[in-house]
Amino acid sequence: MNERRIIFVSFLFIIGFFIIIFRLVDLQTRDKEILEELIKKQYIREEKVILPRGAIYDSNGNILAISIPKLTVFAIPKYIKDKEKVSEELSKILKISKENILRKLEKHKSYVVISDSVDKSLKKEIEALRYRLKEWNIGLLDNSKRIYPFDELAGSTIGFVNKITGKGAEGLEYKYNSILGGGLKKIRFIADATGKPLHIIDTLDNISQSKDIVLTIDSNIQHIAEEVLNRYVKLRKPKGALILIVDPNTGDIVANATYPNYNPNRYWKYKIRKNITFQNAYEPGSLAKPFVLAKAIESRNIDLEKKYFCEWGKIVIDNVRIKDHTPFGELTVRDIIVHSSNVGIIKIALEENPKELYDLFFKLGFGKSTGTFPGETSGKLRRNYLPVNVAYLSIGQSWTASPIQIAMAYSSIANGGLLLKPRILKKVIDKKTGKIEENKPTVIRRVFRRETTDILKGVLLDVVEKGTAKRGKSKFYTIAGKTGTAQKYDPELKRLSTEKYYTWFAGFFPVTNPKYTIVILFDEPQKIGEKEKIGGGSVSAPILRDLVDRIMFYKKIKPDKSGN
Amino acid sequence: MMVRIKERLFEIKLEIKLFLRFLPLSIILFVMGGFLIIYNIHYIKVDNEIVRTSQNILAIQENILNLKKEKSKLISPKIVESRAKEELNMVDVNLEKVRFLVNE
Repeated sequence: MNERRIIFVSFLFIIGFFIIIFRLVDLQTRDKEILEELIKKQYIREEKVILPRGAIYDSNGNILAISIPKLTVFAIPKYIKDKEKVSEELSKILKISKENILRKLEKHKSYVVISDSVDKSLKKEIEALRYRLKEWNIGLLDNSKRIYPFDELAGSTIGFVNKITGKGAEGLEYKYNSILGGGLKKIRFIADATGKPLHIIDTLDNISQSKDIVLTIDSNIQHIAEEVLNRYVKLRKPKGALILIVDPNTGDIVANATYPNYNPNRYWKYKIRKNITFQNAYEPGSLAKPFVLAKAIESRNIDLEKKYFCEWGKIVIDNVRIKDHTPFGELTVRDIIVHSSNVGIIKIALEENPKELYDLFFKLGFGKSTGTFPGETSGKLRRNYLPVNVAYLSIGQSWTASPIQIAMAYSSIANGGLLLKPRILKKVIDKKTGKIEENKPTVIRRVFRRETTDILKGVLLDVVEKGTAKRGKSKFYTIAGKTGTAQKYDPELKRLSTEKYYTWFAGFFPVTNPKYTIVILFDEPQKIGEKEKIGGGSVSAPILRDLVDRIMFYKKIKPDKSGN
Repeated sequence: MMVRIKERLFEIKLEIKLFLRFLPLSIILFVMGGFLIIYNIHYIKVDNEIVRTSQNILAIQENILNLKKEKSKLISPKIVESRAKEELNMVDVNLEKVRFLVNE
């Protein structure tokens, strides 16, 4: 009897087990997909977050841009029961005015971000508030905020990250998006019934593929350049201005101060966010003259003491009259450069083979973007062998170049004849593996013989010591360079303006062993006095005085001028 | 009465025999169940520990990043210069008055 009862009970158990096993198999095979979806809806949540990006360092290891983890506090106002209370309580935690939060909650219905830069330490307090007020439609999202600790320092070069997409939108942030990573990404987490994350499936660390980058920019030299530029911008009130400093031996961009500039921490407040060093092209004016001389030295070994008659400041070519800034009679080849005579250099240029002269300018990189910066201009240089066009080529009119092209061309004189590719990215650091990828300097081609550049250095030194750039000479260091002044085209007058100019200085220092190439440009500088004559010598060159000594003292480089 | 007691005792003996026959199986099932429960508790504990430790790591990493940011702000050339001038009354170098004392 008992055995029968046991067998009966066991039978019931076995049947029960079979039913359970059958149901389990049934659940896992027949309705698998529907059920999985149900589970996902119930427990697995997906939220969009801004992924952290790699940091940007300057050449000294200072942070120029960094992603800091933050929280986004959002609400779905139509489900908020007591907006007044929520605003009051949140305002205490977030330190945002109650009125501001209340306005947001009343203005929007479905989804509104109350703040997207909440410190993560406030997470517990906000969660406690949700529970206390039973307001489940206040939400928290992990977020990442890009911060530029040096504010506007090199702002137009670094660029910025769009705070909605989390991706670089301009400048180097845009250029190196693929290395720095970031962007928007959905992360999945298992949540409880109130939506609180229990377990994050895709941690930010797992899905974020970011590397750090080290730039060639030296933030101290950048600061010096920006400070000096800002001082002269206040004085001259130009439309645009820049100081570009490059290492002529490596092509490293050491500093790039531009006006206008912007603070990437508040990028949306600025209308103009161009980097004129790369994205604008200007007529180089007399900066082109040393290249014509270099051509004459290389093709026919022109004697620097050979004299040319400069027609007392006027020359007519193909029925076009071209004038000098000052009338000159006879000038030696050296003095043509030192005193920047248009007539003299045109005469030298017209003695050259025009095709070969154009070839040299193209070889120097003009007419082609260097590919260093997003949206970089190529400048405008087209071959036209008519004498008048060769004349304009030699005096830097009717063709344009970007300041970075000018810097690289002058660097080729400084370094003994090599055209280098500008380098702004020095290293890429993979934080996870510790692997460092060096971005080595690139020599594009040889453009001049060393002997030619040695002669040019002497001539360009004279320009600063006793020529058009003498207002910029240093007491301690030798500087070589050339001033340039280009008249701007006035669309109202439909001719070249006599009031609006681009003023340039391009050169390098110290001449004995060049460490830095410098380009200074002012777009439409204003006169200080009524009688002042605007030009590269009066506007751009004096900046050298304030800049060169400070940079060299900072780098602890001994003076190379005797008598100190 | 005695007969009934004897019968009952006999039944109990039989049930004990039957129970003893299934005892090893019950013990095996009980041990296995117990093991699974203990393993599960341990698993949840370790999982919680991992989550808590990862959160701590993240919190520390966040702190490091925040400190790096603050440090960078403090060593910004602009801040250093303004502090040097305002707090230490330092002035810009008069380049005209600089003399180099180099005997090399």
